[in-house]
Amino acid sequence: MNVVESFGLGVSYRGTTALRDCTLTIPEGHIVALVGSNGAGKTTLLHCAVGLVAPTTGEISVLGGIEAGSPEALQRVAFVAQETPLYRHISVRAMLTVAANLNQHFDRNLAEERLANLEIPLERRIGRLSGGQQAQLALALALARRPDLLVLDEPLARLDPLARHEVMAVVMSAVAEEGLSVILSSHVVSELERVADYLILMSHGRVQMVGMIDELLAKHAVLSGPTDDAERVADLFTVVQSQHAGRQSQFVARIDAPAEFPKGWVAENISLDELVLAYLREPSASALSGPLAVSANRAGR
Amino acid sequence: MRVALLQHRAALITIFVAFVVLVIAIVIGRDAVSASYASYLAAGCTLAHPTNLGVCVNTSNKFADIPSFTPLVIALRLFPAVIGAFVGAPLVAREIESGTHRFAWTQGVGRTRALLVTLATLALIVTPVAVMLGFLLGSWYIHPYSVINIAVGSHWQSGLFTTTWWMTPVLTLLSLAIGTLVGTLVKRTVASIAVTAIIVGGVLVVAGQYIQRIFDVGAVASSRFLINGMHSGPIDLSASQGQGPAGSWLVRGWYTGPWRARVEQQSGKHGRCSIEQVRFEEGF
Repeated sequence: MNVVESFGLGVSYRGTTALRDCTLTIPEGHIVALVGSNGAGKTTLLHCAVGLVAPTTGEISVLGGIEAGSPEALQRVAFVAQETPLYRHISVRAMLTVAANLNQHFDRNLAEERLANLEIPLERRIGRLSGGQQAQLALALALARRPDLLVLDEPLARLDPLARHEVMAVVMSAVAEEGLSVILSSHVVSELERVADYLILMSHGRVQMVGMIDELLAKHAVLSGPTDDAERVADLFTVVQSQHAGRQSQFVARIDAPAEFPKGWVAENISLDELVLAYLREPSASALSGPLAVSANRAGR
Repeated sequence: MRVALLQHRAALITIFVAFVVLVIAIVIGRDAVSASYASYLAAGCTLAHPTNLGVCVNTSNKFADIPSFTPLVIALRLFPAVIGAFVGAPLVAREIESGTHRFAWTQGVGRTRALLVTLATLALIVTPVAVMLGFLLGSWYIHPYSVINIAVGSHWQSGLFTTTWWMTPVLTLLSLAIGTLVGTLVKRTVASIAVTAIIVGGVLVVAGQYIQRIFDVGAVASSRFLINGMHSGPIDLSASQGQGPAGSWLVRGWYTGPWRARVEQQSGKHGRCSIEQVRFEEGF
């Protein structure tokens, strides 16, 4: 089952395109890192997945074909929005009551247990909690719904390193215990590298790269060697990004099939950070998989 | 329902404060006239032949310009606008502005049900409050005025009609709906409050001025005053109010002098003259 499927998805706000021709499938059972620069369309895509934004074009469904944002979908999809918006004027206990009343299935004991473990007082007003505590509260509320899909939009953006670690630990433990699928968006790749196993890279409102992180890293490499043979190398592989410094050239390239390198050229493993940066620097490059895959565009080389 | 109470505490406080302030003003206003009203009744002023005409004349003149009456009526007429602007308008606008709609509208019950339950809860709270205020002002507070001062007239007169116990909740619910719609479209709390106040204010003014015409469909009936020497202002008034046909609603009334010419009560251009008739336009 795919937890998210979109086809030709596009969203425009007053003439500005936030998302264009977004076609992707996210299989269940993964922790998905949704990565991209600011304004890339990550939040719009997630809002479409939870029904907060209606697509201008195309369609999107969740959990095996359920219409995104429908009551049936919302019962099984939990969303923690950017900056974890909660009712700041009420207490944590009142917030639990609100959440319990807004959901048919809400495990209040589970939420209270998580909050007790995190030493978040139930009587304190939400506005007086720290940023980390508010993020933990929002996460506890979402997990208490026992969702099949957890969608987190920039959950770590405002947190200090310790709070980031604690939030991710809670997510990882929930995945281990409940077996739910998670989509995490961020513009900081290093935050997600340790936990995510699936990557979606977005740029300028479109999906640029999708796939299992291990496979993407295995298919890409940093190639470096003499500039004289650079053109031959570029013909052998799909170059994502190139750099030339004097007589030495360096490519970030996609290696779809094994090939013999010219003399003096070496291939090195690429880190996720390097891979993402290479694609972000070349918005015209893409690496898509599955039946709707589009071959990489080499024009931006 | 519990969610709405927790989420919209500020709105509920607005309703409560508006209610308490108006009830206090109504009680104080009624208390201020209760002694005069009792003496008016004791003097038999509502009867064809009062026992003490001096008390009737004095009380009638005193009630002709009671200063507290108009502000209180205006306050009750503004009550729907207050609810529309400060309860209806922020209902959705504040959620969107603060971003909490991203929490509330993605919960299991869904956006439509969450909104409808919240709106219905607020409507359930606002309606009895409006009925009580309408009853307190339109029936209890105004009663001595309508008995003593002929100018107060019927509930069906413009102005008073919108303060009755049945029209106050109707206008309040309409304002709540308008405010919610404006807040949903404008998406900014302060701007929504301003736009709602303007729209609802316009609706209330139009309703106050023209709603009587909806009922102005019946015959015009004439009633003769019993002229017995009472005076109020530049023209003579009668001791008792003329009555239209049984079951009729008073829409508006005026005085006619000699040759059935209409006499303007406040203009004084006719000088002191006798009222020959009072005519009422009645609707059925």
